[in-house]
Amino acid sequence: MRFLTRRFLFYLVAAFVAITLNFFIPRLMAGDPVQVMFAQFQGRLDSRAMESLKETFGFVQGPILEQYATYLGNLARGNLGLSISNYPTPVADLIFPSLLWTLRLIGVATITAFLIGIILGIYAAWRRGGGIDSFLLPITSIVGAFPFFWTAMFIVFIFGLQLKWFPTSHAWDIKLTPNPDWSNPEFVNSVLRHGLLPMLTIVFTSLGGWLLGMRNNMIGVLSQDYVTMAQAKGLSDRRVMFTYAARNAILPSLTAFSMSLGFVVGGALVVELVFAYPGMGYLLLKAVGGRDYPLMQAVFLLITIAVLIANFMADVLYVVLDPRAR
Amino acid sequence: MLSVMPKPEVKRAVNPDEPLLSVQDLEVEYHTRRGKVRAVDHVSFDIYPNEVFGLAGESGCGKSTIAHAVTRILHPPAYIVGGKIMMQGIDILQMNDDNLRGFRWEHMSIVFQSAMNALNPVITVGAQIMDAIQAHTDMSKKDARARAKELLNTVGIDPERVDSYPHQLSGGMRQRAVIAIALALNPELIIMDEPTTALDVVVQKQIMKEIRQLKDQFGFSILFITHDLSLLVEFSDRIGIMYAGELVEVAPSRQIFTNPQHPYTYKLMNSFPTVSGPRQKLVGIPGSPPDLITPPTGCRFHPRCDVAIAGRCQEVMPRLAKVGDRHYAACHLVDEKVIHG
Amino acid sequence: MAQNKPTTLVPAVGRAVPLRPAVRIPLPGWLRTILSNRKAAVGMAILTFFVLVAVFAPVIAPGQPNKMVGRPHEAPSAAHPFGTSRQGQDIFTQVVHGSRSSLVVGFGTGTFIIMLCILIGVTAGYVGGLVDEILSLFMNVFLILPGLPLIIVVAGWVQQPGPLTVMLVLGFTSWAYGARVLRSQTLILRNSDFVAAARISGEPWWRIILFEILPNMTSLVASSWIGAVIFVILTEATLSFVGLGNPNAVSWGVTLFWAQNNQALLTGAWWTFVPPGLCIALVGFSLTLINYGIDEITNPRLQGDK
Repeated sequence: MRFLTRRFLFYLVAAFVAITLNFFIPRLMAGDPVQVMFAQFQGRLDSRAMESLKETFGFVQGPILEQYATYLGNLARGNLGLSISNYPTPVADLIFPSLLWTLRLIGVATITAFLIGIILGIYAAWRRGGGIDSFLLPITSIVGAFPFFWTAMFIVFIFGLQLKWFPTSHAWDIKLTPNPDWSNPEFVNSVLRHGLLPMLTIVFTSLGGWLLGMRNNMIGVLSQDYVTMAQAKGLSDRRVMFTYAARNAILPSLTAFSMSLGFVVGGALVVELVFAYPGMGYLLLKAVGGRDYPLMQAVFLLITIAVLIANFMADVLYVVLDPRAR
Repeated sequence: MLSVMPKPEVKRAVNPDEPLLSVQDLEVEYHTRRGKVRAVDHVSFDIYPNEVFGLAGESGCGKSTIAHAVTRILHPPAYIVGGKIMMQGIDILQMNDDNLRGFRWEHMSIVFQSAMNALNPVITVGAQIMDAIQAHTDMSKKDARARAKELLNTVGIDPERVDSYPHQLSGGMRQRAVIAIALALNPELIIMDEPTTALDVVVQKQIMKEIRQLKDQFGFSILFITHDLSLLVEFSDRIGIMYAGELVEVAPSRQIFTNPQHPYTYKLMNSFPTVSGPRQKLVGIPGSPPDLITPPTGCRFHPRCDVAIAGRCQEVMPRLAKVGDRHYAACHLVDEKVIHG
Repeated sequence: MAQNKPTTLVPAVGRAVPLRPAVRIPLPGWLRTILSNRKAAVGMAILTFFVLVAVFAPVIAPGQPNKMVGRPHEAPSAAHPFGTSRQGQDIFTQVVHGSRSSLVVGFGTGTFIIMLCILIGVTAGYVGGLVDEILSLFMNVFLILPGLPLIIVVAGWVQQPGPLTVMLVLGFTSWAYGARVLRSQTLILRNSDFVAAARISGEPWWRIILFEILPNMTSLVASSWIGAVIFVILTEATLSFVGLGNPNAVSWGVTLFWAQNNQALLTGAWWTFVPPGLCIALVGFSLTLINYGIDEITNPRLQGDK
């Protein structure tokens, strides 16, 4: 439990750093941030709206610490401000549906990629120089060298536009009304069909990293005495491979999972842009394009918090798998 | 301390005069980037039922390689390239994967050097005993667990530790747990590769004493590998001395200690202080073991030998020859002695 | 035959190891070591190709990359080997010239990042104590924060980020991984005998770091540096692609940005996005190969049997 408590405290610190960055980044930019931010809305927003916007960001009169306190206070009350491009919709209302789409898409894709990568990595190490090693490993390294968004474009082009197997944009057929309780099979089917290509893109692009990492960990573990002894005990290959070798080799992979999650999520967010998938990445880039600063900031915070929570879940899994961490 | 544990089955009628294990002309090579290294060169020896056969030599002489070859757990780049390893009339090297899997642990188990590395850190000690049992018998999970507890008790661990993970045990307990795993299927032969080197002297003595008691109780044989000569002499019935991949002398342990025939054995025996017996001057062995990629011609020991015969030892490789009752040595001097009476 | 199965018996004549005759070309030692590894050698070859393309860009593809020279979305032909863009620009010229900015930004910013990594990582590892605790905490925090969204937010605040801003932003957000790797290596070296000896003999700290510690982690610094370059090339392309670069600049990312914005996919103009993407991937792949090579040279366990 001490391990998890320590990790939890660490994530709190990380969240706090992200929140603080959010506050200071506009102030570190050259020039007057208020002007940068508000110049272009002069005339578009009435003065009352401007005032409330300024207050959300702590751009109030007074020393910087006081501004910071105002900003933290707003955040603590869940006040993320109002969207500029969709004024006066609260940012939170825009973010919530996007967050769900992203969690579903990127969550499922990342876990799938991780699991497939781990299993392939186990076999690659077990049969060194075999099919996975000499065929799949180079292919995934090559795919991994392409920018995520390029692979997305390529998949859209081939499977969506040339072969026309799957839809290429949005998360469901816009002719259908989204039904929140998922009771309409037609809608569910449409969501699955729309999600398939972006999901495959994310799986393909991130698979290689997990595969290679797991393979190398496995190779290290396979030379350990306890694996040799398991073999000498006459255990089945299956048991030696999974209970003795893989159970140990997966631990560093889980740690690596935490470290690269931020990277994978970043790439996946850009994939959303290519597919016009209405998730957080799409929202973030639209916000940047429309200079919708409140939305931009809030999206960044929520992505960060989602990543931190996912990391904590990986830690919990680590504790389940490694008795030494308990 | 030791509970009485009935031997579950009599595996076969044992003839005490027939060797249990017979290693014949074993050759092992390491395929390295610099070339092939012959780590074990035409090594032959027998182990009899209920016997402790010790193998000693400087590190890198091939003694651990033999232990791993006998159990067929050598990893690349090590390859067995010749010889036979006969266990009760069957050549282990000819077994297919299925036969080998059934044979392992049932008839021959191994205790590794470091218990810390030999135990899987993420599953319980009990599970590591139980999976060995369940791989070879159709015992139920409940019975296997009961047997695991019994085995822990046998090696002096509180049976309630069956659910402990390796990191929750002390160094001595871990080594005992490894021994309990080795005993799980009551094999005829246990290979012990430096079983106590990682432990402090007191625990080491205690565990060695217990191993001896277990041996007498269950009647298994031991291939004992160590670089600790006093332990070796004290513990083994017969001893083989290895140098640069070759077996240079084999004799009952008393004789190898009191009447070594090979100059290397002689120097080895003089290089460690005895607990009992007259005080002797401690001498190390000058020089270092040869590079096995380009081993010396003739007798591999001749560059470090004070009494090498000029013109002969550099050229002709001596063969293991009988020099006394159950005593063999590979040295031209021995031949001379025999020739000249 | 599965080579990892320890039980596999291999006959004496099993694997012949061919002895390659030694070719003696006067090369610096480190380069010869790297080229002795097959993966690294292939990587070096690809990278060298792109460096040559970048250096001789005006010779290979004379002409202005952004000039309208043909009809919109012309398919590849002898006149336009990679076809033209929606604006009638020659894609081949854009790709050849784009290699310059990708490589310059990649290696320039990669070098900047590795400097930060050395500065922070080695300081944390060498000084230790509270300084290490604080720096390590920051390393771990920055490691876990999603980098790209952070970069996008920072770039979003800057109206029109130029190359220097991109360098600063990437440096500021991406130093953590390398710093962490170098920190743990410094920690190991700091406790080694030769550093202890140097300290006792009264060498000043900066001499110890420069002459005792850094030379002993060159391969680690090199692979972290290459890792940073790969990261920068991919991230810079991504930033341009999402519209956070200068849309009038010439780079692979910008060509891709226009391909996406001009519905090149819908119109079937694959030639506008395949060549720049392939170039990014090839450069990234060549660097990855070099890194694998360095990894195999320094960590022989991964080499296995080939």
